[in-house]
This record gives sequence, C-alpha cells and structure tokens, in this order.
Amino acid sequence: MKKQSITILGSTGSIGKSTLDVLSRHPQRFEVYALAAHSQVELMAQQVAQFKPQRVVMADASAALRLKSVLKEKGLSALVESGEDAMESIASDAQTDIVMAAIVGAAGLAPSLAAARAGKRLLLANKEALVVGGSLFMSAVKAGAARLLPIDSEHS
Amino acid sequence: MLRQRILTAIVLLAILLPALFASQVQWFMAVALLAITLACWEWGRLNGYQGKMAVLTAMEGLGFCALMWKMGWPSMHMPMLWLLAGAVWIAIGVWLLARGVSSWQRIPAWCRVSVGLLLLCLAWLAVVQARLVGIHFLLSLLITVWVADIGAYFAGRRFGRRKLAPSISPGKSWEGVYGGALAVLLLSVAWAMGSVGQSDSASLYQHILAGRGWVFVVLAGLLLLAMSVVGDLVESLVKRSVGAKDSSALLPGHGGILDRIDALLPTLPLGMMLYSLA
Repeated sequence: MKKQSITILGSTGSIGKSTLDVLSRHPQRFEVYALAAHSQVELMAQQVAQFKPQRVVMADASAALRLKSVLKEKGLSALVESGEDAMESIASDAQTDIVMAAIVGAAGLAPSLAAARAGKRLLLANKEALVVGGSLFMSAVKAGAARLLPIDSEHS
Repeated sequence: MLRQRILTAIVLLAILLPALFASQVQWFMAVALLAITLACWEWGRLNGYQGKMAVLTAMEGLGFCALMWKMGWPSMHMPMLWLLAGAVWIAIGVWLLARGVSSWQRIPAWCRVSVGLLLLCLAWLAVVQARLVGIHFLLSLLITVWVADIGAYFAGRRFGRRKLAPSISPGKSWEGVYGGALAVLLLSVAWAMGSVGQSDSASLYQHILAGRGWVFVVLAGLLLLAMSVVGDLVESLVKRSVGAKDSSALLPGHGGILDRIDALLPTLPLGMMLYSLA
C-alpha cells in the first residue's frame, strides 16, 4: 500500500506533537511531507531530525533564520521556508494527501482554507476556522471535494 | 521611444508585481516560466536557429522546467546542484571572457543552445526556489543586481576611463565596476545588519551573517557583483558575435527578455548556492 503523505500545520503545539507521536508508531503507513510551526526552533529541529520532512516552514522569519543555523549544526541542512504563503503552499501541494490543521487562532484559517480548496483530507483541530469562517469554510470544503474530519471534541 | 519604454515597463510591472506578492506561489512560478520560455526562444535565435527550430528550443525549455516543477524540485534542498551550477557559471564566464568574441562561433550551435537552455532552466529553478524561501529573500537577490547596475552606471559615467572589455561591451569601464562593487558592499552590509522584523523571510545577507559571519557577507556581495557583470558580458558577447543589438524585440523600447535578465542568470543560482552553504 502506498504511504499516505501528511502535512502538519502547528507541529510544535500539543496536538501537533500528539499527531507526530501517532505517526511515529505507524511508519509503514504514513510519511511526513511538511511540518510548519510558529517559532519553536529547538523542538522543530528535533522533529525535522526524526521525521525528515520534505519541506519545513516557520511562520516567523527570524525563527526560520535560526532554524536553518540549528539544522546546519546538526548536519541537517534544509530549505526553510517562511511566511503565510508558504503555509498555504504546503497545505495545498499535490504531494500531500492529509493535512492536520492544528494552528491555534485565526492564523490557522488561511492555510486550512487552502487545504480545503485543494481537496485534502483535512483533520481540523482549529475551531476558529469554523467559528470565524464557518460558511466560507464549508463552501471551500465542498468546492474542493475535501474530506473534513474534526479532531477537537468541541466540534462534535 | 521613451514613451514606449515607459509603457512597456508599466505593463511588465503590472504583471510581475501581483505575481510576486500573490499568496499563491504558483502564479509567480508560472510568470517566471513564461519569461524563461521566451528567453529560450531568443536564445535559440541568437544561436542561428530560426522559425520552428527556435520555437522547438522554447518548448524544450518549457518542458524541462515543467518537469522539474512536477517532480517537486523547487522545494527541494539541493546544495550540490547549486554548487555545480555556480562552478559552471564561473568557468563559462572566465573561459568566454578570456577567449573573446570569435571563440563563441567555433562552438557547435547545438552545444551552445543546449548549455544555454540548461542554464536558463536552472535560473528558473533558482528564482522559484528563492521565492519559496521568501519574498524578502528573493528581493535581496534581485535588488543586489539592480543596485550593482545603477552604481556601475553612475560611477562609469562620472569616472569611467579604463575600458573593461572594449571588444565585447565598449560602454563598460573598470571604474563602473568599482562603483557597482561599492554600492553592493554598502547594500549587503546594511541588509545583513537590519532586523528581520515583520518581513516574511530573512534576506540573503542575514542568512549569511547568521551562518558564516561578516567576512562571508562581504565576499558574497562581491561574488554576486562579479557574476552579474559576467552575465551581462556573456550576453553582450553572444549578441556581438552574431551582430545583434538586442536579443529580440519582444519588449518594445527595451529589446528582449534576455537583455533584461542577463545579469540575473548567473546571480540567481549563485544566490541559491550561497544560501545553501550559509
């Protein structure tokens, strides 16, 4: 069976960490396409070392700069992207099947929308996406033929 | 003539700026791909290919870039490729400039076209990858080349005495190159010191300062300056060897696409090399 490729938005948060923990138990079923976080450089560096994602995004530009240096010290050089458009790009890229949207607050809305429009299997742990942009979000899910799976208990 | 020049510039900016700042990176990638495809067509024609053959050259460039896109190369970290591309450019620059105009025509046309095609496609990959790293990062590369050009223009006009390459590009002087170098040094030091602040990414110089220190910031600036001059001269040399003034008339008032991007062709891959090694 072909491995499912997953993008995790907010990989250094608690939901992101739990998701990676689950993935690490099923290496034959999943591979990590991309990891994105806000500014926790040290933890992100550990995750990159362990999961070897193809793409790494830091929302914060100076964090991206630091991450690149930290990765170099670990002998793990990488192309570190930054900014909101990079988040949208990893959430909607053809190379990813599943997107775990675990960025808190309204910052998580744009990349989650991009994933919905691109027809991803979207694991939504960000309730703001539905609270702030409910109808916009559902129409994006419909238009992109995405599959939406709420992760946070508050949705259901 | 001036009016036409300005109109063309406005149209170009109206296409480029929205593509550059669009939150969906694909737009920028597509616009850059169009420019490179047209540049490949010009390149074929400059090397004696006409009509269908030149169009075929353009299609090869388009196909090759599209293939790299499809395979996800733009977002891949590839320091070895950039190191190789940088070395090839430096070697080509030194060799061509040492041998002069007449040596160019002795290379078989298919060879000239293929090498140029490859370098054009690599420039596309580099500009797209730089855009993925961030808009601020890409701008730090582009603006370096423009500042080098502007510095060289004014220093050359004011102090220009000793010709840089009279047989290739009679307008250029060593004093102009020094002026360009000074401008780039000031720019790179200022840009390395500035804070990242609210921008979407760090500039090339901030990356180099963080990874390697001040000496390399200065060396990087000088290397980019030198290679922007090489890009400029290589294109002039090729045009001169076939007696063309412009690479085409695609951009009314400006000449061709290659005339606009010649200095960027070596500096973009070199910028990605510096980023990868920093």
